[in-house]
Amino acid sequence: MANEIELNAEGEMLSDFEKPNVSGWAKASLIMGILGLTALPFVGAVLAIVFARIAKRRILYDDALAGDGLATAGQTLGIIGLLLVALAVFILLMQERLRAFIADFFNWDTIKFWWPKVGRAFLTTLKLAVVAEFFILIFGLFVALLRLSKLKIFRFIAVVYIDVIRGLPLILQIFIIYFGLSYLGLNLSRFAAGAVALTVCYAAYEAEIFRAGIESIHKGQMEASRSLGMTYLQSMRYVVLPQAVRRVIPPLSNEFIMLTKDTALVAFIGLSEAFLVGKEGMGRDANVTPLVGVALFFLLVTIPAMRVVQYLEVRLSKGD
Amino acid sequence: METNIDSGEAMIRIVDLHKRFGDFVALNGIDLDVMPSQVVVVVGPSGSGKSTMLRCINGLESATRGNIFIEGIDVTHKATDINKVREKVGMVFQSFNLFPHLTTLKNVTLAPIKVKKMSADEANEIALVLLDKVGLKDKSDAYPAHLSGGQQQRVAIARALAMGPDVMLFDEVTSALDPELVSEVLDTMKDLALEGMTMMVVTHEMGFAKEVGTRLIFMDEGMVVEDGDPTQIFNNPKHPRTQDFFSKILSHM
Repeated sequence: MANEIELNAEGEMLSDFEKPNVSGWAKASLIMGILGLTALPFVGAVLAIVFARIAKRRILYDDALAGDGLATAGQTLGIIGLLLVALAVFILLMQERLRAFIADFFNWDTIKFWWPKVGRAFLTTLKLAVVAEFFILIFGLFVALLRLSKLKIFRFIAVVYIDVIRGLPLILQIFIIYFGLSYLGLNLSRFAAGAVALTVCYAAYEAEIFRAGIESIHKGQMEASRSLGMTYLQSMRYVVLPQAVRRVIPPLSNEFIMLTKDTALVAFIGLSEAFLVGKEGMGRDANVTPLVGVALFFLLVTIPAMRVVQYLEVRLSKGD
Repeated sequence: METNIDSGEAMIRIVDLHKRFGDFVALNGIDLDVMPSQVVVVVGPSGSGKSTMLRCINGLESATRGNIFIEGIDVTHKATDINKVREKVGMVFQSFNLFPHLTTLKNVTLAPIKVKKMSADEANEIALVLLDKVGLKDKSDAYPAHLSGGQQQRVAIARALAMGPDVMLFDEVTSALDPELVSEVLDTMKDLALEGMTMMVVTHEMGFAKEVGTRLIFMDEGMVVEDGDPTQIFNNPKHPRTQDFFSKILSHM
């Protein structure tokens, strides 16, 4: 009976507040909840919760009594009120520690000086990621096709390459390529060496992703295409790869996000990207704020990228 | 590709064909001549090698031993350009294998454009004529996913025909279809047969064999057991294995 729609004398629906037989405790709870956030902190909040409890029990056992929604509202406001009080107390008690935390992680003077520098250096980070990604996709696909070749020697080369690269730490590969090549007389810039190292490394991983994508395409596609007289490469190009690439876009996008983060390793051969500049700032100002800046710049790119990948996963799976 | 074929020579000649998959012997010595315009229906229990034989003909499987000549060209020879041979041999598959990322029209025109180097206009013209022939001209801009199984298979037939083959191979093309969609595909194949196309059809559809087939081959365990006129073999199977097979099939027809 508490669920019937009730009308007043003019035929308009009554709100919960206006219905007859609304629990007084429920109304009181709501009022206390509002007071708990304004004129009567803590006390109002506690009373709001207590009254709400009482109201709910009464409403449960009395069919003619209404106002469950009001009680819930009052209870929620009460909880919010208590949390705000707790937060205020926390800040008050931890004042000193909080000030120290801010001085170390969000030092305003350091932010003013170092975050713009870090931001400019982040452009190098992005440039490195994009340049490397371009070559990674091309080389990765090439290695995948080698891996899938009918000729044993091509497959062997591909497997050795993939296994060795995936078996070594990226930082080691960066060092070997940068210093190794310079000992051989080939002097690549730090940016170029970094790009080469990232390409060589990530192409090995992406080759396996491409391979999985290609193998996931039903072999009937290749058979139908070859039966029409198309060559293996034509079939790959016009039939298999268009379908395979669509499938591997989500994992490849994830790899790109990882690549963006791994560019920070190139700091260790001295490339002036965001992490290196941040480290320098930390040394100069003796606080962590510059690195917090680096972190924020990364998150600014990686978190939206993750959402984009999620969206792509859903969109592309619908097509299948 | 030049064809070494005169009017009396076989379209397909299979000589002592053997095919092994590891220890399993799929084809155990096939000798067969298919003449132009014959509609050869191949039947037999599963595992008898029917599909394997078809797939050896267009090179999807490589023969372990033996030779296959298509219009005089030895398909089994390493030096043969298999892509050129496949322009002359069309194949339609049980699972249709249409290209899902392309429209119906593009499915049909892809090979003519890329292999025969036709212009898009030329290819489109031919494709529309063929799609019209199989009754699907109005679906030319649809994607395969929007077509029924029967429609997809008819597009697959049009796609194979677009290359202008001299022989068409059909590998159980109605086995994956809902029963009510089977006849539209068989009708299309019947029209093709009446136009004089040389066809090799692996199927379980005995009605088609009797009505459209000009020759019936019964295979079992990798060998040809009986070979002759469809109606004669149905009414009077000579070999015990043939009798056994038909009794099993016809008992629930």
